[in-house]
Amino acid sequence: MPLYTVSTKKPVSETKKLSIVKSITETHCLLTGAPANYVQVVFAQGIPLPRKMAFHVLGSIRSGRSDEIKTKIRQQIVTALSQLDAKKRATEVVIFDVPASWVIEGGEMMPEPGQENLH
Amino acid sequence: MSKFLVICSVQQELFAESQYAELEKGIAAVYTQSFGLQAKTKVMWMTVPKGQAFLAGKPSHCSTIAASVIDGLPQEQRTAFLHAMLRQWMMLTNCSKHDVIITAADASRLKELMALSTRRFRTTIRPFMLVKMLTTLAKNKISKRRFEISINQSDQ
Repeated sequence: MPLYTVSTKKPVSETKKLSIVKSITETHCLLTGAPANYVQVVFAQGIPLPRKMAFHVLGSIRSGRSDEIKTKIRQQIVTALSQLDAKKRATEVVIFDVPASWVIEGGEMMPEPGQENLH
Repeated sequence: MSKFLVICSVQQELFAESQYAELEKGIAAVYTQSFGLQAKTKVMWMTVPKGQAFLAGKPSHCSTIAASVIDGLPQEQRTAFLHAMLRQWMMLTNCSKHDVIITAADASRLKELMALSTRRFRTTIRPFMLVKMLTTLAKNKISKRRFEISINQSDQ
């Protein structure tokens, strides 16, 4: 957690995949202060997205982030991924909140946002 | 509640065929131990081809489990359930605690997440996609004896 699922119509090249993973991981860590070792990115291919959409990103993140941070996450991912599509099609980013107390990761209950250093 | 839905996202071919049935039995056992004999489960396997999952920017074979629980389950019970699921998964797959992430989600919240996921489909073919997914799940239940679907719709 967070888990970002990136959906595309066609398979994404390895180079582009790594670029997307780097963008999403860095964006999430920079804006939330969460360590990178929590950030998961998974690709789903062959998804019949709307015609003018290149990427759809569904991000499940820990509850407790402010609306401002969530808006910035959405905007920065849209900007980064839009640059990777030569046809300049749209990118949609949807954020879904999940309470940290619902998740166990690395054998430990997930800490609340901002409490990572205490674990 | 009729049945608790458990969605297991696992790397394709990470487990031997025989392990899936063992895991389903193991998951069912954790539910009955945690919530009573009436707690029935429906496990859905979502396979992720190698090279499509990343953790901390690097390729990952980590399994992700979304296990539904009754809405508003007290935290003490939720925590105990999560630890029991983790122990069971580690024992049956021989994996480390770093190879699996488990969420004990309120059933209604998991339903919301699934609905959000289907909203990415083009509106006009959304009903067709749902039928296609259900057909794939049913076919795999017959041929593989488990509800399984690929994260890639093109692989169905």
